[in-house]
This record gives sequence, structure tokens and C-alpha cells, in this order.
Amino acid sequence: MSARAAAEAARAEAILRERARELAQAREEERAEVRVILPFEVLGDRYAVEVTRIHQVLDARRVHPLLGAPRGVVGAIVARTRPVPVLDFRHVLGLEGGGLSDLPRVIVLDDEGDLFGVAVERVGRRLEIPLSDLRPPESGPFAWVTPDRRAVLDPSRLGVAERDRS
Amino acid sequence: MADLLERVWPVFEAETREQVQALAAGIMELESAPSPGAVVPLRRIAHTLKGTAASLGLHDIEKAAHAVEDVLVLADGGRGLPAGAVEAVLRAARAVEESLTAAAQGRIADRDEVLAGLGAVLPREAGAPDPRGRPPAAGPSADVEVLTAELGAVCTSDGEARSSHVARAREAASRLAAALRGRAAELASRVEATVRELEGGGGDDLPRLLARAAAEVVELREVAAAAEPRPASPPEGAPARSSRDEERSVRVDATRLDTAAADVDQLVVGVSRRERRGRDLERTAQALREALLLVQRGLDEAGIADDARPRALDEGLERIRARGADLGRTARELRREAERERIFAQSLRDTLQGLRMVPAEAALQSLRPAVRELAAQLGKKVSLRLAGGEVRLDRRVLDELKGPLLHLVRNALDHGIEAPGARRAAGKPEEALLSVRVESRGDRVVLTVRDDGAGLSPERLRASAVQRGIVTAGEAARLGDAEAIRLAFRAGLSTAQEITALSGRGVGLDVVAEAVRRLGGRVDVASDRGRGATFVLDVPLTIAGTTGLLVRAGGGVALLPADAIERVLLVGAGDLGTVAGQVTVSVDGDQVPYAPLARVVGASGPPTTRSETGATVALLVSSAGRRVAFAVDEVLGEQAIVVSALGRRMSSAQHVAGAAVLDDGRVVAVLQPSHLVDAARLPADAKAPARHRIVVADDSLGTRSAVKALLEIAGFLVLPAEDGEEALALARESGCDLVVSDVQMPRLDGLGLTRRLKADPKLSHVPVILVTSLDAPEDRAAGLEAGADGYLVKREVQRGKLLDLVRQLLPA
Repeated sequence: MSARAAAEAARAEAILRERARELAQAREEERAEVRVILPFEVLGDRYAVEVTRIHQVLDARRVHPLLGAPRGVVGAIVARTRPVPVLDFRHVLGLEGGGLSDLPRVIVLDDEGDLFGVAVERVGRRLEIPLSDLRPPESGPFAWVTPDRRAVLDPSRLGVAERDRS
Repeated sequence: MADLLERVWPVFEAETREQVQALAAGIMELESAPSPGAVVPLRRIAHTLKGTAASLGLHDIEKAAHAVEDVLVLADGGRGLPAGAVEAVLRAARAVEESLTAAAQGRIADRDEVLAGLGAVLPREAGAPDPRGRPPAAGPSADVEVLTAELGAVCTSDGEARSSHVARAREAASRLAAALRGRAAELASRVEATVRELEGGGGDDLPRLLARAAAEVVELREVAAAAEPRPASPPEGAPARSSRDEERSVRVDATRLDTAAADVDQLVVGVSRRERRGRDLERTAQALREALLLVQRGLDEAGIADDARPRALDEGLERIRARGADLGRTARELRREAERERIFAQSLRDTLQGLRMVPAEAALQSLRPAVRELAAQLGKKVSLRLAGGEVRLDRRVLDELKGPLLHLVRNALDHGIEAPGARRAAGKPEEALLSVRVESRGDRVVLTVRDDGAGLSPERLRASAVQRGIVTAGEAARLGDAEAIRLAFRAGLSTAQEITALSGRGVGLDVVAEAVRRLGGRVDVASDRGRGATFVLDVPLTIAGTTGLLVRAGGGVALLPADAIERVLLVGAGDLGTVAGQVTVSVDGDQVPYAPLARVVGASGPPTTRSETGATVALLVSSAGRRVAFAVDEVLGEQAIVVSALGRRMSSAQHVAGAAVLDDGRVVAVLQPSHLVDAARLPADAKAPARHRIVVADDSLGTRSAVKALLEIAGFLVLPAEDGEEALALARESGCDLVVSDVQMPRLDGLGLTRRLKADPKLSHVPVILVTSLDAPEDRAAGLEAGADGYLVKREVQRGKLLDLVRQLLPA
């Protein structure tokens, strides 16, 4: 390779390296301004929960009924060796629904160490939503609403009576 | 700084808690026995706290510690503390402790009041030297502490803050160099030289210089300590560990121990699973051997001689036999390995358990400042006696008990102990006695809080319970004084006189009872009118894995802790009766309340089944000396379990203590025995005020009692009557939702009763079921003609048809 060709190659590599650095930086900046959510559906309505609040997503066939569980608690499931209660998401929202067979997935949420599952119909692929696109909800146990009208759950407000919130 | 704070917070919190508790205990000790050396360790504590808080930017704590230090200076040289000093320091100590759990970490909500309280006890003479300018304590050992604290603060600060810490460290080193002699003075000079280098900024050498200074201070500390006579012994409750102990100890965040313990618990469950698999494999190997024998017998019966068998068949059989033997061997090894693992896991569990055992002393001592402060606030004189501080118990148990203990103590001071005037009038000493005692009893610990105040008023508790609908007036009247006093533990119960700003802060004795129950303990109270009250908390020494009895009930399975079960009973129909409306079973001559487990936990499954002999299986459960027999469908077995709490989403199901994973992977609810016993023993009306009322009329006492028991077990409220007249009167006076009546009765028979009920506009809607031995078609027709809604022959009652009909006819 001639000296000129070598200099060209070195320049090209330097340019490429600089571009890669800028891209990586841009991605980092972008990452700081988005929320990653996991969408799911219940009774045809669309919801989501921030992935940072998710402990695990499990198959609802692993839910075991609990004798004497209160209404709205469909049973318990083992999440990484620890049994956690599973709520019927329809009941949380005050909606009528069928049996557990209609809710094949359980999303185990982490409310500051207090783990619990919500049984839901369908779980989608994770999405990144710019923070600036999220709007506060009108009502309900939600943190935000996405531009495509998905209500994003606030786990600390799910299945807990007002007086029990700390 | 936020990151730094987050990282060091657990250690800072634990240390600060110890420091303020030692400060509170020490200041009271100083008050009762002033001595020249007694204030030195307290000033050291305040100074160290000030330095650490400053380095972490916790200015509220820093200021409070600084002000406490100023107050402590006043006690230098054996002088007594001025009036109000002890209260002000105690208040500051409490404020700092509370700030550790505040939403904004380290923020003291009433900082200005705390500082004003401390400032008020300082002398106000003009020209008085500012105590803040003085060294924190006299003597080289105090300067070594200052040096240590300031160097520690250098590590976690920067800019101007760091410079001022370095300057203070240098001043301390310089004082030491001047005050000490020989080798100690030489070491102090070396430290001073190193700190001077630090004063120059240190640059890249900062870490190296700090490490050198730290090493020199460690050496200086040892030499200085050997040269200086030891001050008086530290105050009670103050940490007094030797440096040797410190070298051999490691401070571990308690949550890490909890995590390790939880992992070991899972290990134990895993071992159980392996043992079970080993047993399954052994059974499979045995089944294989038996199958081979069958094949062998089949070949023999077919008359096939050994030498006439195809070789392939022989070879096949031989291979199966060999593999079967291998399987049996593997299964046995698996079981033996699991047994060995179980021993190791148990040993590990015991070791971890031992690590979590702490003396009760710290929790007891933390009551002193609260009592002192509250007594001053209420104008009462109280002597607090603490005993049993050396008893060691699980830290988690102790943590759970701190709140209940404090509540009981505050309660005693606020409501139980009278004002000095009232005590004088009652012929008691003005100073009341409040004692808190911890006693170890095998695997349990008993905590007793006793006061010599006025005691609890059973009358007021009865009246309050009736007013709040917790019991009916009749039930309240039937309660003895001892039982009435226990009403104090019921949720929602308080009396107007008993609520004050002090102990009525939204936490009632029911919360104390609940906290104790959560631990698997029990709480009781006894009161002697005018002479005081005694609260007894009986809790397990540890929170550990337990053995559970697996039962089937209400269409599901659940576990009950085996230690709560006295025994399993077989209950025949003849063993049941009723006492004051409560269905009971006779156990060793005692009438013990009896209830189907499924009903008590609110399960909606099928009713409890009986065996072919007509007997029902029941568990005799005991809690706090009270017993209840719970009917279940079947006892499935016993196994080692680890109970996991299910969190706030299950808090409404108080009968569920948590859940456990069985060795076959199923998750089941672990029931809370004390809550079950309470729920089953509630007075009938309190338990279900809207229960259906059924009048049962029969002139035969035996039949009447049997039908009554049958209906009561099913959850109905039964009003028994000897004949139709009495039944009619009961229905008119008390009202009812259904009538079950015999046909042939004196005065007014069943047909007449039915006609009269149906003719009464107020009662015509009440369904009537006639139960009789007359089963001719014309008798049935006569009954239905009279207006009866159902007609049963007595033998059908035994088959459960009565209950079906009752449920069918009752309004939903």
C-alpha cells in the first residue's frame, strides 16, 4: 500500500471512529430521555408497565390457588424461589371478567421490595417512549398515558387500599 | 454527595442509632451519679456524631450534636448538669434517632425547638467563653478520638470542608504532641507531620497520606491508651467493646443476613425435595423388581424351561435386573446425600440464627428516654425498672417488638399511672413503678410490662365495645372482667377518656396484638383495679422455618403451623352441642368451640365432608391458651416449610400468615392460628350481624339440639322453641328468616304454626319447613296445604337435605 493510500485509510478510520463515538453518545443521550415499557392487554384494552418495575414475567399455569384468599387475588406464584400473590387485573380495575384461563400471563411487579403479580391477557414486546410524549393520567392506578393511549401502571397504587399506602 | 450518602447510610444509621441510645442512657446515668469522668465518653459520642454528620452534609444532625456537646461541657470536672439539661439532651437524642427514618434522611422535623431547648440550658453570662471553641473533652484519649473523627471526615469531604477537617486534625495532633510523653509524643508528632502534608492539599498523594496518617493514629491510640489511666466505666448501655473484640468483629448489614437466611431456608426446602425424589426412585426400583418377578412367574406358568427360552429374552431380563439394581443403588445414595445435606443445611441455619441473636438490652434501654420524657411532660413521677436485658433473641423478633413495647410503656404512663396527687390520695407512693422484664422460656421469650397504676376499667371497655358494635349488650354483660379487659386488644376499640395526644397516636392495643400475632406469639393482659395492669407478650425466640400440617378444606389445601395443633380429632355427630349459641365439641370433658375451617377462612368450596363412619376430622388448635376445633376434609401430611410473607396485597386476609412452597412445588397458604382462633370464637352476633335467623320448633330436646347444631355449624343463628306457641312468639318478637318445625307438638302443632305464620301479614313471607317422621303422602299433602314451603322426613335431615332446602328457601 502506498503512503497516500495508508494516510487515506487512517483518515477514513478516524472519521468512522468519530462517527461511532457521536452515535454512541447520541444513543446515550436518547436513552436518558426515554422510558422503556412492556405493553399488555386486558379485555381488549391496552396497558403497559415500566420494565424497571418488572421482576419477572411468568406463565399463569404456574399460579396456585390460595385457600381463603381475598377477592381479586387469584392465587400465588413462585417468582425466583419466593411465593408472591397474584391479582386479577380485571378486578383491580373493577371490571367483570372470566376465569384465570383468560389471563395466561403473570407480570410480577416490584413495589419497593413488595412483590406481587398481575394476571393479564397478552404481553407485547418492550417499547421505548420519549419522556416528553408521556402525559399524566386522568384517574386510576397509573403513572402516565402514552401517545397511543396506553395507560402505564403505577405498581405502588395497585391492589392496595388508600390507607395502606405508605 | 447523594451517592456517598446512599452508600454509607446503612452503616451511618446503625452507628448513629447506637450513639444516640448510648448518649441517652449515659446522660441519665450521669444525672443519677455525677462523676468527673462520666461526661467524657458522652462528649466523645456527641463530637464523633457531629463530625460524621458534617462530613455527610447532614446539617440538622450536625447542629444538634454540636449543641449537645455544648451542654455536656457544663458537666466537665464533675459539675452537675443544670436543670432541664437531661430533658433537652434526651429530646435531641430522640430527634436525631427519628431523623434516621425520616422521609428526608437526617432531617430533624422540629430542629429549631430541639436547638432552642438545648440553648436554654446554657449559661448566659456576658463574656462567658464560647464552649464551642473548647476542645470536646479533656485528656489525650479525647484528642485521639477527635483526630480519628476529623481524619475520617477528611476522607468523605472536599473543598473548604476538607481543609477545615485537616486543620482540626492538625490541632488535635499538635495538642497530643505537647501533652504526651515518650513514645506516644513521638507518634503524635509523626501524625502531626503527616497531617501538615495533608494541609498542603495532598494532591495525588492524598490517599497515601491518609493511609499513613490512619496507620499512625492506630499506633498512637494503642500507646496513648496504655499510658493514660482508664476513665470510669462507660455508662450502662454504651458500647464497650475492646479493640480486640473489634478486630475480631465485622459489622454486617442485617438485610444481608436476612438474605442469607432466606437462601438457606430455600436450601432446606430443596433438600426436602431431593429426599422426596430419592424415595420416589426407591419406590420405582422396587416396582421394577416386582414387575420382573411377575415376568419370571409368567414364564414359569407358561411351562417354558429355562434352557428353552430365547437367549435374547434372558439377556433382556438380565439387563432390566441390572438397571433396576443400579436404580435402587442411585436412589439410596441420593437419599443418603440428601440426609447429609440436611445436616449441613441445619448447621448453617443454626449458625445464621445465632448471628441474628442479639441481647434485649438495647431495646430495653431505648425505653428509658421515652419514659423520662413522657413522665416530665405529664408531670408524673415514675421509676422504670428494666430486667432481662441479657436475654438474647432474634433481631427480627426484637425489631418487631420495639414498637409494641414502646406503645405499652406510653400507654401505662398516659392512662395507667396516676398523677402524684391522685396516687397520694389513693395511699400509694408518689413515684410509680413501671417495670419491663424479659424472660427466656425455652424456645420462647416472655416480655412483661407491669405498672402499679389504676388498672383498666372492665366497665368502660364493655361500654365502648357495645357502642362500637364489637359485641352486643348481652354478650358484654356475659363477659367476665378478665375477658372484658381483653376487649382492649380488639380493633377499633378505645374510649374517649383513653385517647390523648400522647399514646392515642392512631396506634391501638389491637396493633400491639397484631404485631405479636404476626410473630406467632400471643398477648394477654391482667388488671387489678386500683393496683395496676400487667401486659404479657409471649413470642418465639426466633423466626425460623417451621413444620406445617397440610390439610384439605373448602376445596383447597392449606398449611397450619404444627406447633399450634394440639392433636387431630375424629368428631362424631354425638360429640357436638352448643353452648351460648356457639357450636362446641367435647374434648377431655371441656366444651371447645367447633367450626369448619373453610367457613372461618371464607372459602367458597363444598361443605366439610364426613367419613364413611359419619365422623369429621378436626384439628384442635391452640393459641394464647384458647382452643378451637376446626373441621377439615382431610389431613394430608406434615412437612418442613418456610413461611414467606405475601405483602400488602394480602393484608386484608388476616387469617393468612403467608405462603410456603411444598416439596412438590405447589404454593399453599399458611394460616395464622391465633387469628383463626379469634375468628372462630367471636360472639355469634359480632361475627355475622346479618346472619339468617332460623326458629327451630320441636318438643323433643334431642331432635331440637341436633337440628340446631346442624344449622349453626352451617353458619345460621338458631332460636330454639319447644312448641308451636313458643315458636310463633319468638318469630313475632325477635323476627326470623325461616322456620323449621316438627309437626306433632303440644299446645300448637306444626300445621297450626304454619297456618298462623302464613296468616300473619308481617310473617307470611317467612318460609316454613316441616320436619317430621310422618311420611305418608296424605301427611305431606296436609303440610303443604297448611302453607309449608318444604316438607322433610327426619331421616332426610341426616342426609343433609335440610341444609339444601334451607339454603334454597332463604332469601339471597
